[in-house]
Amino acid sequence: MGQKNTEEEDFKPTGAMAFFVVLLAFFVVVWFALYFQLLGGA
Amino acid sequence: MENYSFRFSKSSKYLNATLLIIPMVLLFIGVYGGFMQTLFRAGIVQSDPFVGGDYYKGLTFHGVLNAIVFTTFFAVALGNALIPYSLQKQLNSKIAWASGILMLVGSVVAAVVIFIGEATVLYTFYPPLKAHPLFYIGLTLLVVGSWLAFYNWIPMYLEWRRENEGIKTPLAVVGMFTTFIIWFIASLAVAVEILAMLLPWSLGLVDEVNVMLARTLFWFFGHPLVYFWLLPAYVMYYSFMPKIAGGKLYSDMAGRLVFMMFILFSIPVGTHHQYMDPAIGAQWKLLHGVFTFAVALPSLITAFTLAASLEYAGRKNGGTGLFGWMWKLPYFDKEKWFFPYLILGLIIFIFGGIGGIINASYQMNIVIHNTAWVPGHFHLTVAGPVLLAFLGGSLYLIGQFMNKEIRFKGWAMISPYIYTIGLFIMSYGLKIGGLKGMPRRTNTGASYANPDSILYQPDWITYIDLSVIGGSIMFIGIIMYLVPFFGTVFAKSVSDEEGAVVTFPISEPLHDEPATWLRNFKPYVIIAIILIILSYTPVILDVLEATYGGSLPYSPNSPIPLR
Repeated sequence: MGQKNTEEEDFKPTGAMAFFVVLLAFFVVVWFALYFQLLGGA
Repeated sequence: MENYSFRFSKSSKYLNATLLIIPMVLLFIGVYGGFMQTLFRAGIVQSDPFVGGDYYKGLTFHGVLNAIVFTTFFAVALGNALIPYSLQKQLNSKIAWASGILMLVGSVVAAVVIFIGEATVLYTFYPPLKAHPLFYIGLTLLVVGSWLAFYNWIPMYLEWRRENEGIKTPLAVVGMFTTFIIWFIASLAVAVEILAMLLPWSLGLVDEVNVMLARTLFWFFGHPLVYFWLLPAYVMYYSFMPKIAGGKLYSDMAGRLVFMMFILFSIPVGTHHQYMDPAIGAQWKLLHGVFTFAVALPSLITAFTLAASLEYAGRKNGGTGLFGWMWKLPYFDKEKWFFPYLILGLIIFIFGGIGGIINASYQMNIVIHNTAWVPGHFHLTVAGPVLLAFLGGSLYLIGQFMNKEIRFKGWAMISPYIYTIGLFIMSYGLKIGGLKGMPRRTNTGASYANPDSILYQPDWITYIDLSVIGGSIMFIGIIMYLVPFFGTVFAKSVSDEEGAVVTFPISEPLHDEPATWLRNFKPYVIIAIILIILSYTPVILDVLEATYGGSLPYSPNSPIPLR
């Protein structure tokens, strides 16, 4: 039980953080792709 | 937290089964309408064996039955299941049945009126397209029925709070109440639009209708409607998915914060659907755009919290490395057939989410406005995470409420994958075609995709073809889903219980923060009302100042007014 609690307290979601950074980067790339489409159209 | 069960009364059991089965039939009719849309738009068919050559009638079927009827029924059924379960209290079955009957009668009336061609107004029912009065009455009954379901839950919740002072409301209950608080506030505007404007106009009591005002009231309702669709899916993501994956919810507080943020920011955003409309000042459109970006925040918090919850599960299942946990989730476990409906929805929502941010970016909206990009986008939201979560939820609930073992679990597990492949292909076709100028709504098969037409656009054909291929695969995915659904409905009961003994896979939180500032809806509802007043008063004033007179009614088949 004690070991289980320590395991839970030690859990740091590093993978989720990395995933979140990749997600934001992807959003930025797609957003700017459309932004340049807007500029091109103008 | 141990799994626990709750015994629903016989009356609740039959009610919830009804609220799941009848809308599933209506959903299939709408899905068929959607499939036919892709064939019409490609010019493969010019007439539907069931609805004839009226393309817009099929489009109305598709939108109304899938986006309004099915979603409303499922949200009510989920609330009727999760709230009594979480609070351990029985529903008032008379009110619950009255609500269900109103919704059923309203939906059937609206569907019949569409079918006989008297309500070809699409799901937005924008005037000056006019429907038969019974269409508006049917929709009103559906909405009032759903309000009644909500009112039925409030005394149960207040009683539970009195009996459990100082205890946090279960997260699933917070999510369902958030869903229906937003729904209630938002649907007041559409009630005004229908009862004060469209119905008298349709009945011939007044000659003209203020189109801009009607559109503004519709989008007061129409964008929060997206959250009414999305939030029951969020309830299942937060409450069920971590547990099904074999882990825990990373943060209980994050879930509560997300729901409260939706109450704040879901409604004062509707004008971002009207960026290209006249009559509304640019500064107010920009304000709604800013709020729309604010309402993206809870979805970003959700993306992180759910990823962390799944990482915890994946690591418990033996995953290592930065992303190794992703491969240790139960994607293809037949016994955990519910998991694909949730995880695939989240993956789809990555693409739906960025599409929404682009749509809400004021000037950028002009690139995609009224193009096929828009249906490409909303199929990645309402027909992606929402539909998949609702399909998975419907199958789970029908098994629980009818005391049946889920049949054809392999089909149940694989069908969301098939559907998702089709969805990505179709949405890609629509979105890229839209960026090249392909319009939404229009029957391209009769014009731009027809080589005999002077409007023929050969550079759109690839994207139209992709939408046919994708739409056909999605249709197959839905058929594959209906096999386990109706297979379960018609299977033999596993017990002779009169009522239904129901269990939900409720996730335990890894971090159970006290979050006392997130325990009361009242301050969030008050701030939401203030934001709505501040953001919508100038919009309504602009519309009233800039418009005069109104429009006579029209049908989509003629440029001549109907009277």
